[in-house]
Amino acid sequence: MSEPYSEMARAVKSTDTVRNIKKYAPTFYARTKLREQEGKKLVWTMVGVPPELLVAFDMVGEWPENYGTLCAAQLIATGFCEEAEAEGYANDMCSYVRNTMGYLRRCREVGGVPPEAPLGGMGNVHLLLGSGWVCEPRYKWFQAIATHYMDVPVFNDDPVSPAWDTDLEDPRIAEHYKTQLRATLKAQVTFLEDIAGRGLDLDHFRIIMQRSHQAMKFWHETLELRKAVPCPMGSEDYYTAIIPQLYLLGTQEAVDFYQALYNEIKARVDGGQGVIAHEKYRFSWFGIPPWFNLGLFNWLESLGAIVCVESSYYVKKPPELDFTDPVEALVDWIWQEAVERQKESTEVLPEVVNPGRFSALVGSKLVARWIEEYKLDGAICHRLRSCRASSLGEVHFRNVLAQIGIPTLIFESDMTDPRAWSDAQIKAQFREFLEMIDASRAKRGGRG
Amino acid sequence: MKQILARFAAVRDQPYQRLERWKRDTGKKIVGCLPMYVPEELIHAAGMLPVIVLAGKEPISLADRHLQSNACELVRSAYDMGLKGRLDFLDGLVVPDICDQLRFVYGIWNLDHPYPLMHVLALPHRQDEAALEYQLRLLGRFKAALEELAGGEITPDALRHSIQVYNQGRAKLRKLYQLRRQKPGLLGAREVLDVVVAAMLMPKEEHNRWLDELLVEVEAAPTPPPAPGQVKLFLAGQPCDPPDADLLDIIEAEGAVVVDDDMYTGFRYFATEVAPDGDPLMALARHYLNLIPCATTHRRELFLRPGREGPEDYGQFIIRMAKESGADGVVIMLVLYCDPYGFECVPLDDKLTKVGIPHLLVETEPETGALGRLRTRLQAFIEMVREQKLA
Repeated sequence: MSEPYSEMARAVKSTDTVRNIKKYAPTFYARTKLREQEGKKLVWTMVGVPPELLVAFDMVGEWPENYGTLCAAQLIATGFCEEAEAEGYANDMCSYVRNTMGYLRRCREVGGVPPEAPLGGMGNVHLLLGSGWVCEPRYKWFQAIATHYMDVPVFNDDPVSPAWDTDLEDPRIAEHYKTQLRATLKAQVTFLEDIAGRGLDLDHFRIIMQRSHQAMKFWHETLELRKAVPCPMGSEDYYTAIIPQLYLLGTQEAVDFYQALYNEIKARVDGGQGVIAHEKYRFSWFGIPPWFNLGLFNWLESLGAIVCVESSYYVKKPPELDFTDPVEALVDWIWQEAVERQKESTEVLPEVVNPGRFSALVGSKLVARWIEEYKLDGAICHRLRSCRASSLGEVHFRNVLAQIGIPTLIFESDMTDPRAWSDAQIKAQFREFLEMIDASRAKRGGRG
Repeated sequence: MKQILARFAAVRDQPYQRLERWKRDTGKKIVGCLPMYVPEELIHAAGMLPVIVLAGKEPISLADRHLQSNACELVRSAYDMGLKGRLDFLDGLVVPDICDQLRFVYGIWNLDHPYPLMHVLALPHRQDEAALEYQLRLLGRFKAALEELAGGEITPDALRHSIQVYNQGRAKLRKLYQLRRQKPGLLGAREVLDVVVAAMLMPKEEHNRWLDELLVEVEAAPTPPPAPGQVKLFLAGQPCDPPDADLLDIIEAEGAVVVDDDMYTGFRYFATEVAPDGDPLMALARHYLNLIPCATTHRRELFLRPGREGPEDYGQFIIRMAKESGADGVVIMLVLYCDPYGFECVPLDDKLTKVGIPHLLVETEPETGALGRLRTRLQAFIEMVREQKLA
């Protein structure tokens, strides 16, 4: 079989909407220009901080982890990671963090934006708005920046992490966690109000929250359409289509983008059109992808394999919400997601136990359902050398799936640092995995 | 003095046999706590024995079937001990939610090898008023879970008594550390470590009595004459587990003495006291929020505004401690795959450089050949500090 995609390839997108995402999401892609506009405060923030808050306070965001994916795609991240390691950060520390620290070290060294930095760098930041959601490096990352590189105000919100065996249906327990969520969110709002010099406009925020909800409904319904055979959208599109979900919630741009994407995917399903004509293998994907090599998904498709569902950034169906008090609606949304995830058996995967809104690994009950609904042949786990949060549980998870006869491939690399990529070895692992599925089908006389 | 120290060493050497015997003799329950910061007083007040579960000495074999390889030594080893049944004398296990790995191992441990009580205790990373109320409610749930296991109520008076017993132990250990500073070289680093770790593995009342005996002898003993070119070192790094004894032995073999530390199995374990008055549960909640600066927490008040002033941050804390202890240099121990500390060590390195305190960063994961390299680096570091001191 021919293999047209070489090592470290960028993804070739399948859908028009994702290919034209810059047209749909100009705010995100023009942020380097926007931040120069008078009066706009530049916030470095992270996934886990509700982006609706930035919209409400008319602040421009920059997401160092997204900048990490950009540096990875441009193969610049290696240099920044090495800079961070020279500074003393361990080479197993989160590569998003190392990329940022290396960038800051270079900024200090050259007295400005280093020439190799994509998009002219990450701008002159006014405040750091971090989040402890999703994984633990997050509650240290911005603190370390503020301690070591720049003297700007920092806020870090604290996650609530009910264990998987906590009875979240008990109203006392629910109230215990919701009280803490409310307190943290209010503290976050107060921090932003102090900096913005004005209060949160609740009427405006209500509209922002409703837009956010509407966008996520379209997005969730789009993801549901991927259950179709052949699958109408693969990971090469998914991992770009998440951008509005992570960074633009609350804007009309996000609503328009997901509506357009839904329409395009729906038309494909109605017309029986898939990403690849002859699907041989359908997979779920666990872990953050190798941002420096999203072309991997095209390569897999050239072998007849499509990823139909991803655990990272997976969006559940948004709950029905009462927007009368939009702050309370946000609290309720976060909480109801936590409850729903727990019902899906989130027994050991810490990113799920921690009900951050955006990054969701999933528990075994949900995956068992996915196997049926998406008609999956197996699971692929990307073990990330520098991300413990998303790697924890993979071995356990593989054991659980093995019990129901689903094979899992665990391969090791990284999300940002291309040095962790071993092309020949990883592709050999994939080929063996596909051969194993073929052999098992031949034995059972199944499809193939 | 050596005889008393040998008793502490024996506890550390064979903790589990001793605990099993204690359980048989007393008929009481034992609750294991993973590091760090589980309020042991609550378990004690319920009439049970809290013990800290540290990494075992056996090679890890079973845990790797369930855990990925880039988990830290403590998580892999403790869970491995659990799977092997070495901790089956436990009636409960409490896991503090201070990092992703501990939270995760709680889940998997609960599935694969549970004890009658399995409890994850969330500990807020932020330290503010909202966190205090949250912490108080979390402790209330923890208390209720312990009461169910113990089959009886934890009364405020019982809790106050336990706080008193633990505060006494903390004061005695601080006294021991003070004497170590005053009499460098009298107590070996391994010996002091044995004393602290023993406090985590045996009834506090008994440990307190042993400490009384030890303190009398240490106070009476003369300060040994300093060896020529003696170098005094401070150990930083707050690893959850005790450092490898070989590392301590190398330091001392090179003519250096450890005068103080900031380890969980050291000063951090007894640095601050719980308020003896008022509502005892609130006192425990406040105690957690008023800990000495820790890699696992985010001190909100430090970072809210530019030009901030106020409580010291982690780096300032270490510098103050090192200076107060009279140390000539700092050895920072970095545990492999420990993310929270990985963030602290770079600013710490920078701050120590700026104030001119010599320091060395060492990774503490045991691996083949690592000890030889470590020895060479420590030798060179101690020699450099010695020359700097003499210059």
